[in-house]
Amino acid sequence: MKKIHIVALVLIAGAIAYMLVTLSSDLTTYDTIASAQQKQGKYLHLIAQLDRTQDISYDPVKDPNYLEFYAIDSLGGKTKVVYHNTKPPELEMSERIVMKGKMNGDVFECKEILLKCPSKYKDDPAHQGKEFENKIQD
Amino acid sequence: MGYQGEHLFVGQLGHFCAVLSFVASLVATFAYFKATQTAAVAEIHAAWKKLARTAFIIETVAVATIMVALYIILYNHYFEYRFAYQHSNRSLPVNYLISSFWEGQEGSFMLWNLWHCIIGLVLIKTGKVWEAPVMTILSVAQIFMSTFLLGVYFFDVKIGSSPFVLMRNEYNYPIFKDPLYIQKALRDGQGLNILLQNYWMVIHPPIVFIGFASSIVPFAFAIAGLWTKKYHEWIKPVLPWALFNAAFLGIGIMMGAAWAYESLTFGGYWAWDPVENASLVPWLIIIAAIHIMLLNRSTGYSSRSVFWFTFLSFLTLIYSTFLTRTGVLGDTSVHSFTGDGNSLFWHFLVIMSFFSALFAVLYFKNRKHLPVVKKEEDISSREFWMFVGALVFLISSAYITFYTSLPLINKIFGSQMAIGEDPEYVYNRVMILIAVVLGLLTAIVQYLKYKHTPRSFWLKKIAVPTVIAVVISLLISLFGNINYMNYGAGYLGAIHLAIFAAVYAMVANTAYIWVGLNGKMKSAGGSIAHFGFGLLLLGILISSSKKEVISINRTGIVFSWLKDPKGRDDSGLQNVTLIQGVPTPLGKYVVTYSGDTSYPRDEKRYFKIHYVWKDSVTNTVKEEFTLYPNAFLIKGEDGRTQLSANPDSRHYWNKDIFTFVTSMPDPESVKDTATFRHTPVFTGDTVFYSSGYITIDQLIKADKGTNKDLPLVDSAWLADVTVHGNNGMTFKANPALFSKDGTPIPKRDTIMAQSLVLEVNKNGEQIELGVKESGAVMNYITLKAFQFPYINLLWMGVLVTSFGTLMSAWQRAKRN
Repeated sequence: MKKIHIVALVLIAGAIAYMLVTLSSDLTTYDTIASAQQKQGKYLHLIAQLDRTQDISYDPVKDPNYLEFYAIDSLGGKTKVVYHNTKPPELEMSERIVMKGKMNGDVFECKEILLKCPSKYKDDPAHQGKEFENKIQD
Repeated sequence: MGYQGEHLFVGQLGHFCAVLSFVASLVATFAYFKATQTAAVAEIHAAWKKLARTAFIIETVAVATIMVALYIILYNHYFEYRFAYQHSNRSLPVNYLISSFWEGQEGSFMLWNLWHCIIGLVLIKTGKVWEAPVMTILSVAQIFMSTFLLGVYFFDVKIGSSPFVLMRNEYNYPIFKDPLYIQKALRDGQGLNILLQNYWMVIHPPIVFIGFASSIVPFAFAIAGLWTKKYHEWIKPVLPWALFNAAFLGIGIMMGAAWAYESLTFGGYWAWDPVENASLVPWLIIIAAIHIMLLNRSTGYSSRSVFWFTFLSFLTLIYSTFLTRTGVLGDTSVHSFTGDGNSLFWHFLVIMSFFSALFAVLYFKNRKHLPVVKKEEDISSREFWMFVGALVFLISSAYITFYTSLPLINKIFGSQMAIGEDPEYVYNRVMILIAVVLGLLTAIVQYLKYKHTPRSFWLKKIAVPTVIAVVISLLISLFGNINYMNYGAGYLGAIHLAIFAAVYAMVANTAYIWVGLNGKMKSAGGSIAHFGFGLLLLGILISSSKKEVISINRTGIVFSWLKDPKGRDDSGLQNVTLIQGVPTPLGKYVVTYSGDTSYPRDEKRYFKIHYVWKDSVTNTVKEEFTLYPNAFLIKGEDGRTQLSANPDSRHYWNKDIFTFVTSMPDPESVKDTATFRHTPVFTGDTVFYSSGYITIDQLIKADKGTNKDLPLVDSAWLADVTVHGNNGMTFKANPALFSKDGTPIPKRDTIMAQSLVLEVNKNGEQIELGVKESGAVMNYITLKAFQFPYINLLWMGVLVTSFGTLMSAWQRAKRN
């Protein structure tokens, strides 16, 4: 076996070993509200929607880094969410929210929010249809 | 039934040219294939080649016509075409009409297609014996590229998507039955995504696509080498192309980074976003491939891996486009490319499988004939360590690709995996080690000779650069204040090690121009590129490890339980609220939000943020500047206003102060219900309000007869007042009342910080001061501010690396 092959094998084996060791701590899962509530304190991704029946509380004059709202998911789960950052402007319009953070008791402490909004999907025919109906009424 | 106001010819022409380019690429492929196969018979070869060239030139003209046709549609606002409707509107400035091209995926493929054509023309001109086989592969790629624009159905399967489809054919709404549907429903388009309304977005995609399009050339040469059994000879002509490819991929990626830095608000130029990763990986691999090509050309070693690396650089490029364009990344990317996900998905899968199969068949057929050097590489040889370096590049690419592909892995295996709490760290902690290794290799490997290096020779030459690098990097480490402890001492140690490696790469490669090349600047392209790479690394290391959040919130409520378990202080309290007119401390600065402006024909609102840094002892102003971060205010469907912010930076040679607005009150939701309370006043009077009092310093009456400075109005009543807030602050204000042709025109003055609006009123001959206290007056924004030190090193590193790489490409092209 040539030296260069030994070096190659060592490098690749090292990389794979490293990945195997770190993978479990680097990776997390997508969860529902119910399953997240079972995994208290574990960092995970939560897929949910904004609960529009409840108020969003955000007062930037008092504290620009405190947002509180409620999230629900399709399986009937419901949780309070606290996000220590400014309110994402599209929050009210969002169809789906992917939140990264952990459950702490009844509260989901969110570190990052990704919003999926209808306006991003210009090509969505259902949305476009609605728009054209509106135009006819103009 | 006739429709009014349609412009159908230009679309028909465009669609015809799309079909023509498809047919022409089929003809070119077949003719070039025959030309390659008949290379031994000069006459037949020439005939096939002539046909192939004709077909290729027709194709180029067709592709150019498609672009012109689409531009005409966009420029003239023909909203009956879906492309124009979805990606532009009437108020879009002309330079952003170009960005509309790349917002739709048809436009990006068109651009890719056009660059293929132009590269093909250059290959026809310079390719010589390589023209026929290389152009066969390029033409095959063109078949796939042109089908992206076809939008035809083939047994219920939609192939590609035409940019020339009409709204009324695509959507079956009743309005489209109306002959006047354009006037009624399509008066204006939906406009361009505001994130793309940035000058970087005008030039970044064309550059990136030069990089994308040119990546086919090294691959095509590799295939041509296997096909015509010139296993070694293809290296020399391919090198300038590979270098060109690397340079443009690199420039394109970093232009994207510059765009992210200037117009996205994640606070940086790089976030390990899937789209960024996907463009980085092909660059890493083509760099590795170039080094393998160089060592293969000089020594004959790695004759097998040179094919694999070249193939992989092309495959990863297609794979990355597949990841980012087809929507498989789903929720994980901030870049939302949408479109015909499903049809694109299969389209790309077919492309990847086809080229992989082609490569595999040719490679394994010829594997036995590949010239392999029997003697083992000497451990002191340049080729040994160049190969190690290429492997390190490959491993880093595999690591990045694995994490980027997680959503795809989830899709295939039905798993639910995602990168956890700190995605950037997952990449950074590995990449910093890679940077150390690559920096060191970049520094020392040039000093090794091919085949074998005598130890004393090497030590003698590298000793001086090593000492200089140690001294410089020690100075940076000792006095540079680099103490990034967020991830502990080990990581900080790695940063300092990487700084040494980067400095070492810079010093050693500068020295090499004289020590190794005797000052021959013509051959110095490689050394310059390596120097730039070191500079780039240094810029990344210093700007990231010394990045500082200035807007740490010290006024808001602080939660003790918010402390990050790992002790990091960036737990999210990074937004500060600035009330208009109220100076607020922000790091060493005192910052005032003094208002906002908007301009006609510009949808953005500019916020005026004034920064002052005063010396605390002498109270002299040491630094003062104003930033104008801006934001698009978009009316949402529910009547709410959304904010999409762009940052603004103060650039110094050694740092950037980076500021952007994170939220502001919705101007629609604030209703002003308060009314004015009027008090008769004379000079010297005092008027009270809920949180202070107002003194009337002076009342002035002026009219046209007594004051010729009043050309526009007939008469004026001016008040000079001072507002004394309970908190000890005082403000000057000048409300006034003008009169023209008997109509009163009040000029109100607002003191935001006190939620106060003042006006002058006249009751008979008596002057009154009107005072309104209103919550609606309270104007505030929240913002984030960062300080990036030495970010210019990074941008300079990019320029130098690209310059060196292109210089090397040019010199090699001249020698061919």
